Parts: sequence; structure tokens; C-alpha cells
Amino acid sequence: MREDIASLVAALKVGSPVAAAALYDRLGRDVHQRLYRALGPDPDLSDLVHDTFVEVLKSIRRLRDPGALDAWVGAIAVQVAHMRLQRRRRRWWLSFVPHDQVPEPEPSSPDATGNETLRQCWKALDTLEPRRRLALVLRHVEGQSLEEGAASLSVSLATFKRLLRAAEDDFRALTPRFPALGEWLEEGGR
Amino acid sequence: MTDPWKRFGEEARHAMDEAAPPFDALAGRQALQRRAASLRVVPGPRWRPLAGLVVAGLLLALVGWQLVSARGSPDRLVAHGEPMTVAFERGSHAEVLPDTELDVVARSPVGARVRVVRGQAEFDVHHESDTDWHVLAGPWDVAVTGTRLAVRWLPDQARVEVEVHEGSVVVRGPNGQATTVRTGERFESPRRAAVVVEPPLAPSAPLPVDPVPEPLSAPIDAGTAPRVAPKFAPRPRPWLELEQAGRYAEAREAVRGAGAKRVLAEASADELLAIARACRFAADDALSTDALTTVRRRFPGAPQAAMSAFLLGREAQGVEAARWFSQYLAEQPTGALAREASGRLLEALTQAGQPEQARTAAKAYLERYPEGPHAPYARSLLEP
Repeated sequence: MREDIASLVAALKVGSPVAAAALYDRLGRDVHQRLYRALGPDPDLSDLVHDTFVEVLKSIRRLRDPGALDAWVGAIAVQVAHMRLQRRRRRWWLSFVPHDQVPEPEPSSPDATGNETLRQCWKALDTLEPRRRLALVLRHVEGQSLEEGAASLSVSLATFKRLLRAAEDDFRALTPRFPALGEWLEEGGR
Repeated sequence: MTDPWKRFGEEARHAMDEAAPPFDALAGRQALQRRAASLRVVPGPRWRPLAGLVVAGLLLALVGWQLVSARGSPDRLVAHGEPMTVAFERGSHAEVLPDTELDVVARSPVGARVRVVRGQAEFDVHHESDTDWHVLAGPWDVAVTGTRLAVRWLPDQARVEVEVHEGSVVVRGPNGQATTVRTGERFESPRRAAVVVEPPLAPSAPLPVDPVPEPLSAPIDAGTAPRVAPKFAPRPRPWLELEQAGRYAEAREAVRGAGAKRVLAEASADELLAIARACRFAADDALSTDALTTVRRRFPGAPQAAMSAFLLGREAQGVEAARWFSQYLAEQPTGALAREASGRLLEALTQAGQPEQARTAAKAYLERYPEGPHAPYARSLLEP
């Protein structure tokens, strides 16, 4: 298995489109899932998945340990998500939306499940500063350890802890505005 | 007592995964394959003496891996609506024109062997003493030692056309005959007999080729024939290399620095799309939009113009987005992005507050793409 991954990485480094396709087959779904969890509904989700893999192909030469391929791709997906969140905030700012109003996410398909709690969750997450949001999602939704989260976000462990603490405080403070979140944060249980 | 954040994580993860849009693996895979082919792979100059050995080792690994993963098949590149650039070692590259299939049979540190399966490709091959480059087309083998040329293969007519813009090539036919073709010359093989058309051509004599999206360069005037065809005439385009290298912010700066208005007025349709792409990634939406609208204005009817309509729709909101997606579909009803444009049209019409139009578009979508990625959304629009 390790030999397979090493061969795959070697093929990627010499620019094989076949290897790129194999990489996509291997991790495409995971990247799609990670970006969706990080960003919520986004009309450009498939483009962002593509952007992630393009960045991977461009930087694959810097990958020293082929065994770290999956984590490497995951971290780049987080970087792409971060850029996307920053871009959204720039757009909100340019559109002069008052900051105390909840900014809507970019146009998207309605939540197929009709899950009101999830809808409020996205809205609450949209109010968080991008890195805090990602720290919260990586730690609690993705279930990453503090060390993994710090690596994914390319920050020190201390910074990740600080971002996470701030995100938790911010998110908790939003529950009066998004009462359905209380079902998940306080009462729990499906 | 359960940690509330752990509980939150479980609930959120479950709900998010249920609500996540479907993952279109096939489309994403194909798009990435096309993009991978255009990414340049250049060994570092400091390690050049070792690079051959290293790359050879990697290629061996690659070959072994490909035998397992792709049953030994070459990398097949298919250009549909827009051309693709394929980068090779030493800065050589090929531009695969629309409606062309190209197999990368083999690549090495000193060259490559590619086959034009159908259509037309243009090659810019870097020359060094050990260059080993071959373009195959049907039974024909074009040996390239460093030149700029176009090769067209018409499989239904079993005809190859080679036009050399700079340098020289040797074309070998099925019977072993070899013909040297030099700058400004054109080689044709009308089924059986090969003919070399020496310049100058009569100015009024059209080249005997079938119409293609981007035909081979225009007839060469007897008195003013340039050694290098205008298409390949050197002109500084630093933003293009920066964009291809993924240095989008620098590419955008280069365009601005050179005078965006002038650049947009002189750039080709493909260059304009590259500029738009760089500016989009560099968060310069205004210049990205300018580049795309310039394509629409300067190249009406071209595939790139339709592509621009799609991209403009993606950047726009509501009514404007719907207008651009509709425009794309009007121009390219069966284009490579037709399914995506149809799906995004649904979203745009909904966002624009036009439910009736959205329902009509949803019906049309489901008729054409009942299993498409927007099918669940389309059905939700049709629910009472």
C-alpha cells in the first residue's frame, strides 16, 4: 500500500494526468466533504474541489513523505476554504451590508434535508472570523486533534488553541439569535 | 455528562453530510486530468546532472504504476470546447486545438512521443543537441529537433498536414520515405502521395485544408513571407507564463502594469481567458469581468465567447447570472458546460425570484439530465 502511494506521488511529480486522475479518485470525495463542512452551501463547491487539486499538483514537489499525502491534500483543502471565506467577507464588505446583520452565504441550493438547525448553524458559522470558523469545524465537526487542526490550518498549536477558544465563545454567544442551535449544544440527541 | 462540543460535532457532521450536494466524480476527474496536462514540470537547474537519473527512476515507477492503473494506455488528452496546453520538459509545449485528441505516448527528460489521434496540435519544441521528439499521425512520424510547427491528422481521409513555422523537421512515411520540411514549408499527404509545397504560394491560393476552429496559418505572400508565422511572432506576455505557473497575483499585476486596456485590446481569446482566470484568483473581479466581456465583444461566435458567458454568469448574481447562463446555452446547447450551465440557471432564476421560469428550466433540466447533479434540486423546484 505504501509502495502504491509512493508510486502515485512519484508519478504526480513528473506530471502524469493519469496519476492526477488516480489522486482524484482516491481523495476527491474527501475533499468535497471537507470543503462542504467548512464552507456550507456554495455554488462554486465543485470549482473549489478542482482548485484544491490544482494546488496539490502545483506543490506536490514539496511533499517529502509520500505517506503524508492524504494529510497534505487535506491541509490544502483547508487553505482553499480559508481563501474562499476571506473572499466572501470581502464581498460582504464591498456590498455595505451592516456588520450586525447576519450575512447570507453565497447563493446556494436550499438545504435538501430541510434541517432548520443546520440552516441556523451555517448562518452562525458565517458570522465567525474565517480562521476561527475553520478551527471550530476542524476540531469539532472533523474531529481532528488539536495538533492535526493546527497543522491543517498551518498555525502553531498555541494559536490553534486560541482560535478554537475564541470560536467556541463566539459561537455560544450566538445561540440567542439562533435558538435551534441549542438542540445541538445543550440538549443534544438525535 | 456528555461534552456539549462533542455532541455538537456529531450532530453537525451528521446533518452536513446528509445535506451535502452530490459529488460529481467523473466531471471533476476529467477536468483535473486536463489541468494536470497543462502544468509544467521542470527539473531544477542545480541538479541537472542528477535530474536525468532521478527523473528516469521516477518514470520507471510511473511506467510500472501506469501499467497497473491504466493497463499501459497512454495519456489521452481530449480538447473539447477550448484548447489545452500540454507542458513537457525543457519548456517544450503543445497546444491541443479544439476537437482534437492527443495521446502522450511517452515523455522523457530529453523529449516526448505524442500521437495526434485526430485534429490539430501546435508544437513549440526546445532545441538541444540530444532532443528526441516525435509527433506521430497515422502511419507518419514527424521527427522534431527543435522547432515550431503544426500537425493536423484527418483519420477519415488518412491525411496528414505539417506546417513548419520555424526550424526543420523530418517526416517519415509508411514506406520509409523521409522528407525534410523547413521554415515556411508545408507538407501534405493526400491519402497516398506526399507533396511538399515550397513557398512562395500564390497569395490568392487558399490552403487546401478543411475548415477547423483555428485553421493553419494564412497563405504566405510571395514577397513578404515571414520566416516565422505571425501566430508565433514573439511578443512579451509575461502574465501568461505567470498565470500558467499559478502565480495569479503577479500575473494580474503584470497585466495592470502593462496597461490593462492595451493588453485586453491585443490579447487573443485564449489569453483573455487566462487573464480572467488569474484575476479571479487574485480577487480582482473587475479586471476579470473586463477580460471576459472583451472576449464577448472581440470574438463573437467563438467557443471562448461562450465560455466567457458561462464564467460571467458564475461571477454574477440573480437575473444577470441567469442571462449569462441562458446566453451560454443558446450559443453552446450541447457544449461541455451545458449541463452545469443548465443547473446554475435554476439557481440563478430562483435567486432572482422568478419561480415560474425556474420551474420551466427545472423541467427542461430533468428531461436532459435526469441523473445530473442538479436533478434533486430541480425536482424540489417542481414539488407543489
